[in-house]
Amino acid sequence: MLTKNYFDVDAILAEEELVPCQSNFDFSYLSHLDPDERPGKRHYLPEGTKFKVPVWAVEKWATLGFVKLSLPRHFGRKARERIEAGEADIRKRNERFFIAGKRLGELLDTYTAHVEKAWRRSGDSDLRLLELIKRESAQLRRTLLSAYTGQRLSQTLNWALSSVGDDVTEYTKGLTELERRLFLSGATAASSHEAWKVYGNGRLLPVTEHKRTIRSVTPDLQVPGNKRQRIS
Amino acid sequence: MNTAQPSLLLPAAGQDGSSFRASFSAEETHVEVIPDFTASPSFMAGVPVQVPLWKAELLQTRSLGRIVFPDWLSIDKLRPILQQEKTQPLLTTSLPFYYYELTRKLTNRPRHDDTNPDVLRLLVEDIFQVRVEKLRQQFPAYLALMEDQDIPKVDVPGIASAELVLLGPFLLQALGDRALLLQQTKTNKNDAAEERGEDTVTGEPIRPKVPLRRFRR
Repeated sequence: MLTKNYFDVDAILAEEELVPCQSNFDFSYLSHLDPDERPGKRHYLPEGTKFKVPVWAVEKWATLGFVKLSLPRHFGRKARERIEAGEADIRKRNERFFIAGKRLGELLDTYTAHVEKAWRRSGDSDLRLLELIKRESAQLRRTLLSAYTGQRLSQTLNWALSSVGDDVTEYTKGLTELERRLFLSGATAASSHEAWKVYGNGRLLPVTEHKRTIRSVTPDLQVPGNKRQRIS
Repeated sequence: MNTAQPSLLLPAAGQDGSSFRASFSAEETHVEVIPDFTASPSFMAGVPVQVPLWKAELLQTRSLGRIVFPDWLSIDKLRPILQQEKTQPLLTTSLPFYYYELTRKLTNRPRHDDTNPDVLRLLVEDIFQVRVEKLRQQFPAYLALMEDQDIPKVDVPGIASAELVLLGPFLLQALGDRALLLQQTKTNKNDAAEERGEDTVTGEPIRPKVPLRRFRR
């Protein structure tokens, strides 16, 4: 189970997911963020430039309203429909698809909450974009949940319980990291059960043969009874 | 030190030993034993007495008594239970909590009566497999039941220790991950601070009122 652990490696790596952004005004000295920008041509990133930034880097800008956010393509509407239909290779898109998707949903929620509050104060009426982003975030969350708890979960359970001692690489290579942890927990319990059935019912038999080797470590010739002996 | 026969092996790497622990807990279950000695006040030769399973095994190993199988551990009782498990959607409640572990331990030694321990063991194994299969198929339904609950819980009447040990870790992990995916972002920190009248400058979005300084193009 994922916990709110600061050092959780999967959560850290999931935040490497690139988020498409659009700048709301000029950014000084950040022209290198634009992949189409020729080096040395400009020293600033013009307003309206589209670029991609990891989740961990864009969160503060999003809450301050510096950028407009959107979902990556493999979390978009068409990709979600394919995922819900079970036709998509989820791991190929992102090894930590579910964790990254959840993180993106949190980012969008935070972004819309902060920006909406500021725009309401300033009397800005263009809230349609924010409503659209909120709907996308809710649908993303629903897709993640249905993909995780649907047929994939049942298949993972079946494989975990019935493949003790078998090579399961063919199945696990299509699982995300979260699902691999789930598979491991089930497989560990199943293998423990099998091991107990084979080894756990034997009687604790008393030892019948002993090989004793008596070696003298420091023989005391004057007092034979004080010989120190090591038994192995 | 060499032993004539292999003794109990510890769980290998990659196993959590949960079945071994459950088996150890099952040894506290009381079973009937007929002692061959008299030691007042508990033991009188030929008089059945209830003792924990670990003590009963000790007495039988030392030829100081013999264990009497529980009532439910007979072919006449187990066959109808197996039939019931195959036909009913719910788990039967007529088996004890440690039925699987007790069967494995009690049928692990030869008997001096007509009881065939192998048949009993196979019957209980079939019952176990049918129950696990039922739980496996109802697993998505259990998850759906817990959808609206803040603290997910599900009541499965009749579930036994062996099924819990086998399916419990997977279910717990799945529930935890599901709760993680359901978790809503808490964006109300600033809202709460505003209600208290505190300044919420940090993190407040801004829109530039004047054009920013532009570099020469």
